[in-house]
Amino acid sequence: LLHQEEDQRFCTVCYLRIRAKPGEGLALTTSCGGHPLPLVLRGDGTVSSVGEPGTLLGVFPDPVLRDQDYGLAPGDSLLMYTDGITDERGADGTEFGEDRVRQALTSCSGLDADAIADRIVASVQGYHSGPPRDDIAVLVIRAKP
Amino acid sequence: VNGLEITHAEVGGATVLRLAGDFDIAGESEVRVALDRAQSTRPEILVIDLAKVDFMDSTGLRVILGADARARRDGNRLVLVRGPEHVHRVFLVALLDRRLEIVDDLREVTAPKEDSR
Repeated sequence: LLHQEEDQRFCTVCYLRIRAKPGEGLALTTSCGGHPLPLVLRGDGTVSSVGEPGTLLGVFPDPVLRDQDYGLAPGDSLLMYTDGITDERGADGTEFGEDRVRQALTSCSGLDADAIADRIVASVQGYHSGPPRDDIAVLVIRAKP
Repeated sequence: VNGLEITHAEVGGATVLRLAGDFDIAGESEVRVALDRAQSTRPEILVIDLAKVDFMDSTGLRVILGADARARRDGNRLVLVRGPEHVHRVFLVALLDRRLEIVDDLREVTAPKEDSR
């Protein structure tokens, strides 16, 4: 073993607990371990992150993980995504970044979950010519309007 | 999209590796080799200077965590000089600003400690 490499494998996690409140939307609890925080698109078109940053898992024996409770009103949507989205780079090398994810989500008012996911992926693919550098995953949950 | 340039220096009692360019999978093995060489002498203070890094992803993070684990095992310090905002964000998202020693400026590590007289 010439180089005695440390192999610091880790994973990032975003955990969601969802409880349906018939007629009132969804009650959620989120905990993130090193994963980008989910974004919420409200019915009025505003976008904000939910949850608190936590330590990535697999490296430190005592990660900091915090739960946050919040709600999705009918018609609100939640977006989870991987760093393949934010790390994608444009022609000049600039990263797609969280700000562009927020902008793309802002433009999704009124769309259903499938259409939101498609639009987010399309905006990243439009930002970068050629195949993605990293794998990309998005998950959208919408409280029934 | 740039390559990665690595320079090695001894500054004020610290071994300093300066990275410039993209710190991702393309530069991974080069950085590992440079770190391995630097850490084989068990420097009391090893600084990885990220100030000139244009891009860093989870591959870069893993390399840094490996160097940090090795430094801890040897009883030495690994110090990072913070990169530009979008690079530093990689550490903030993973809450690693609380686990790693990150400074704004190399001089915070290498400046001789003097009386304030």
